[in-house]
Amino acid sequence: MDIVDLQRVTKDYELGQTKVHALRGIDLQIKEGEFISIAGASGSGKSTLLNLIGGLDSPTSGVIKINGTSINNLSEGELNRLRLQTIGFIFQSFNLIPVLNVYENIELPLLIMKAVSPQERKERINHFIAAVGLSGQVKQKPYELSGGQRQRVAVARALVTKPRIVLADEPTANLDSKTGLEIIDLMHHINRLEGTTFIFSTHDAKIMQRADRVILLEDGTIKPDNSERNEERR
Amino acid sequence: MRWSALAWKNLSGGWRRALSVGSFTFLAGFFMVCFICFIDSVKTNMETAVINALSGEIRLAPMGAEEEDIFSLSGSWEDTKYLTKEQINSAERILKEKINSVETVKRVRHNVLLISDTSETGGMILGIEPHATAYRKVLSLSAGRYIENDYEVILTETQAEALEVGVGDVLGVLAQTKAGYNVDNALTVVGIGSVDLLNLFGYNVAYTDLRSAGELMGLAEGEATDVILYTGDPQQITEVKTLLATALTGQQVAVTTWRQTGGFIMGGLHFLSILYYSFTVILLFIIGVLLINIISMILLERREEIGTLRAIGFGRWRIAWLFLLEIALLTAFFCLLGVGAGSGLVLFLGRKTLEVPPPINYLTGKSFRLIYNPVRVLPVIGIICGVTLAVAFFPVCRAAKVKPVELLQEKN
Repeated sequence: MDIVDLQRVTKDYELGQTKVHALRGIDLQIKEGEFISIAGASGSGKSTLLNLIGGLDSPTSGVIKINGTSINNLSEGELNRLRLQTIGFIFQSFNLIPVLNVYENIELPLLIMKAVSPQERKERINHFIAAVGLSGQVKQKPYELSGGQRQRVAVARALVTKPRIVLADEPTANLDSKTGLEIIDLMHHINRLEGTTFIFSTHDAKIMQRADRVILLEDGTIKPDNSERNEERR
Repeated sequence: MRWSALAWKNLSGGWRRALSVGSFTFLAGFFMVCFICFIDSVKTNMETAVINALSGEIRLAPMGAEEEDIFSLSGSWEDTKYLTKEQINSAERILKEKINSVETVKRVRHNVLLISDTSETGGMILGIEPHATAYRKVLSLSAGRYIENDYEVILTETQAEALEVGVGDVLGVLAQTKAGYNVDNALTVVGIGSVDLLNLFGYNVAYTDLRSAGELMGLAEGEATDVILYTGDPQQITEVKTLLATALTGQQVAVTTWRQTGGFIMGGLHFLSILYYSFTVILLFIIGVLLINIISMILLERREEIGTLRAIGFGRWRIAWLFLLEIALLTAFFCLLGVGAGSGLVLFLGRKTLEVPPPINYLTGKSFRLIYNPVRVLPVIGIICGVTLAVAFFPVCRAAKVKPVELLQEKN
C-alpha cells in the first residue's frame, strides 16, 4: 500500500482579485521507505504540495490519503495527531525554539506524546542526538550552533516521534552546498536505517541527485519525463 | 522537561518581553497596595473619629427617634424624642449588671443660637457628661481644655472666628425647649478645637456639658436624647448590642451600633469605599488594555514559534495553555514583587505619624498614620493575576488559532 496517495489534487489561492493555481490535478503515489525529492523552480508548487501532504493546508479539490486514510475531512485534532504521530517536519529555516537547548528542542514533540514514558523519551532523544552526530552539543542553544548543526537538530526533532513520513521543505536552502549534501546524506542514511519515508523539496540539482526518485514540478503539474532516470536511481 | 520549565525558559529567554508585561503587573501591585492601605487607613481613622466624636460604638435612643443621622431634625421641637429617666435608669441597671462597658455617656443634642457681643451663629450643641473621655481622642484643641464642669462649651475654630470669641469669654445661648418655649443660658468658652477627620463633612458641633444642654432643651434631670457606650473591643459590639436589645425589650429603647448611624458622614465613608473600588476598576481597565496590546505584540513576535509548534502536532489549546502558563508565572512573580514593594513602603511609612498639609488633611487629619492590613492586601495578587489572565486569554487564543501554514509561509 502507498503511504502517500494523491488523486487529482488541486490547490488554488486567491491573491486579491487574482486566482493562483498552485497545484493542478496532481496524481502521486509514494511507497513506504522511499527517499523522494520534489524538484522544481521557485513557485512551481513544491511547498504547497508538502503542506498538503503534511495536513498543514487543505486542497481545493482531490483526495489526499496518508497510509490509506483520506485526510481531507479530518478534524483539527485528528490532523494534530497525524502530524504528531505519523509525520515529521524539517523546515528551511530550521525553526528551532531559540530558548531551548539541543536536547530540549528534540524533546519538544515528545512533551505531548503521552504514550512515551520518561525513560523511553530519554532513550529516544539520546539515540537521535547520536544519530545526527550532536552528542557533544547537547546543552547548546541554537544560536551557538552552525547552520548544519541546527538542521541536524531539526532532523532529530522530526524523527524523535518515530514518524512514518518526514517532510522537508528545502532543508538545504540555508546551508552551503557541502553542508547541504551532508544533511541530505544524513537523511538518506536514516531512511535506509529506520525505513522512514523522506520527501524533500529542492531546486538544487546536486541535492536532487541523491534522491531515489525525483518528482519534477512545473507550474503546479508533475512533469512525466523523468521516470526513466528514476528507474536508474532505483 | 516539564511544562512549567518550558514556560520559564521562554520567559527567561525573552526577558525583555517578559519585563514589559511584568513592569505593568508590578506597578499595578505596587499602586493597588499603596492605595488600598491609604484608603483603608483614612476610612478606619474616620470611623474611629465618628465613633469617638459622635455615635459611640453602641447607642441607646428613644424608639422612633429619627436620628439615624444624628444631624437630621425633622418636624417640630415638640416632636423631639428623648429618653426618660426611667428608661435611662433601666438601661444603666442592665449595663451595670450584664455588660462591662469601658465608658457610658449620656448626651443631649440640640440646635441653638450662639450669641457673642459682636455676632451670633446657629449651630448644634452636644451636651455630654464631663467624665466623657472618648471624644477627647479625636477632638484636637487649638486652645483651652476639655469640658470639666457645668456651663462650659468648646467651640470649633469656625464658630470662635465667627463669634470673635476666645477661651474665657462668655457666650449667650438661645434655644427652644421641647415644649416650644424660648430659653437662654450663658456658657463659658473653655476650649477651641475641632474633629479634624470630620471637617470634610462640615462637622461643626460645639461640645458642652450635659446639664446646660438639658436645660436648653427643657429636659428634666436624668433625661437625655441618647446614651452612647464604648465596649473597648470592636469584636464585642454586635454581641453587646444583641444582649442590650434583648434586655431592653419592651422599654421603647432602640439599640443601634455605629454602623447603623447612617447619615451623610457614613455616606461619606461609603463614598471612600466606592472611590477605592472605582480607582481599582479604572486602574485594572487601563492595565488590561495596555496588557492586551503588549501581549498581542509579543504573540506577533512569536508567530513563527507558534507555527512550528502547530506543525509538529501541538493543538491550539495546548499552545494557548502554554502561553497562559507563561503569563501566569510572569504575573504572579512581578505582582508579588509589586505587592511586596508596596507593603514595604506602607510598613515603613506606617512606623511614624505623618504631618499632612492641607488640603489632603481634610481626608487624613493633620496627623496621619498608615495602617497595613494583610487581609486586605493579599487579594490584590489574586485580582491582578486574574485580570491579567482574563485579558490575555483572547489574544492568546486568537494567536493559537491561526493556521500553521500561514505562520510558516510568513517565515519562508
